[in-house]
Amino acid sequence: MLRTIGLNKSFGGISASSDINLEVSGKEIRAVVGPNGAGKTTLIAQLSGLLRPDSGTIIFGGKDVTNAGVHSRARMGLARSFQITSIILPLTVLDNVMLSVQSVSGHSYRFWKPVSAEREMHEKAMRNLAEVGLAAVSDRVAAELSHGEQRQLEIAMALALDPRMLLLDEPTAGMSREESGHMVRLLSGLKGQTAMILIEHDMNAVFALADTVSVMVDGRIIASGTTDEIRRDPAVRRAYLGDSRA
Amino acid sequence: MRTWVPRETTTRFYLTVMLLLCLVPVATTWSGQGFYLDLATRILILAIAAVSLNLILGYGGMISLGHAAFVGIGAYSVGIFSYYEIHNGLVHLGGAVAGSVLFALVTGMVCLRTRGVYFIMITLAFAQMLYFVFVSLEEYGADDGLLIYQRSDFGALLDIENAVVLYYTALAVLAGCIGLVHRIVNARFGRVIVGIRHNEQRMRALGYDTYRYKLTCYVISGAMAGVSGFLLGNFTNFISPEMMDWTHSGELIFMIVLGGTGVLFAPVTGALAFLLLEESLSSITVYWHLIFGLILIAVVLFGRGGLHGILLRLLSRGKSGRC
Repeated sequence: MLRTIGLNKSFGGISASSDINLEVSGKEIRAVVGPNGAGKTTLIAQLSGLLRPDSGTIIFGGKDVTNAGVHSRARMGLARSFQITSIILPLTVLDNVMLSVQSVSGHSYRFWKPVSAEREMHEKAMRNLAEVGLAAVSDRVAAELSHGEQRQLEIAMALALDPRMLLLDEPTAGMSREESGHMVRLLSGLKGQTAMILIEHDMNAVFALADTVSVMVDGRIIASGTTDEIRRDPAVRRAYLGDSRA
Repeated sequence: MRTWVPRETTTRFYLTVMLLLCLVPVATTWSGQGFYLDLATRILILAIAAVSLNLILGYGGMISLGHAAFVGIGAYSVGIFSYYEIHNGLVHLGGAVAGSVLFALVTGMVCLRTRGVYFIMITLAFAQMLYFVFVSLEEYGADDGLLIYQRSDFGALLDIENAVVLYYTALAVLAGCIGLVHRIVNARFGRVIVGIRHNEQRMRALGYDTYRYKLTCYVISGAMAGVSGFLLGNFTNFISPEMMDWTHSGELIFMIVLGGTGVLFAPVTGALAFLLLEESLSSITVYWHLIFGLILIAVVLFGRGGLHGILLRLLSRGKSGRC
């Protein structure tokens, strides 16, 4: 589904990605973990097209997308959520998701027919909202939602793109324990529906969701494997798990 | 909170304003006050330009300080064709639209690579460049401008030499432009534009090539402003580079802010308020700019949402909660 070959990216003298080789296949859920500053968000930015790698290749769905823009990767089925929630605050919850649905249901150079007359888009958006449990608040303005609900909305917007892969940058960041539990249940409900790359600090969430884990330190992937393998890996324990978690 | 388009329960008020505008020629003819017909015609024409600016500024968040350039292009289309004794109205109008579309396309491709204050500065720079191009064109009167001896000829059906006919033409075009903007902002295209204004990064991540949508919007807006310039050239029977000066672009922004940014009819009330204020204040004192400026500051500071905001608050006071 997604493969990177020798990705390198540096800012000034600091190497944020060095020789990243990552392969995620089928409907796999891959967690990327690592201490702050390890280069996880930089990696996601390159995968989604926000940043261009200095060298290396990104292949998505069999196509070389290294030089494709953010919007064309999204149209190919690579949807993402942001570390800092990115939704359209002044619009209603439903309108936010409708924009996603609209993006994948034909072009938007339509100047005359009101969107309110497009029943199918409306129904599709409501289904996506129901999937994340926000159907009841569809008429609310997005800015009025709680932080947890806003994160859910962002997931709904990504799902509405019918993605082949989701890039999730810390989906439980800043959430209460209850909210993050809800998010983990929501995401595990999507298992088998779409592939995911998940950046996450909450190790409980990682072990609950991920099939495989890659550990990043200082811009490098130091280990990759199943969750059990990673849990046992001594180098990983030393570099990461041992530091922050007893 | 605003959703796509603010809830237009104020629509009835604005439709009344439009209806009253229909009656202006009746009143001025009856009372013999031709001057007021002229003033009203100018208001309508500038309102068209303001409606077009509101599409990119109010809905799309693209603050252009060069919109008068399109008005100038439209007016020069009338002037230049007339200079060569081509009086066919369709040619004039076609030239106005084609010229503004071309200018919007070329400058837009550059401007829209930038955002915020840089966008403001680059639109200003392009408009001033065009201004100086026309200042240097000796053939078309340089900075003295050109007189237009005959208005655009649309045959016997539409004789815009007649002031009343020109007035109703302008009113029809204004209504048409408002209708068009209304359709656009409620259609798929307009939703994308509004989405981009609020969160462009998110829209790109949803798969929208935001640059192209903005450029298309910019071109539509430019073409509309070109039409208002076409009417302005016919109305004043005179064109000069001064029409493109950045102060006029600034006035269009003021009209929108005065009326209420991103509100469908606001450019109309904004243009009405702006020109009526200008007219009445300048008849009182030569220092009218000072009073005018103070009023504008007061509206921006205290009249949240411009005249539209004030109207909403008046309505909600009248009928509790309904706005």
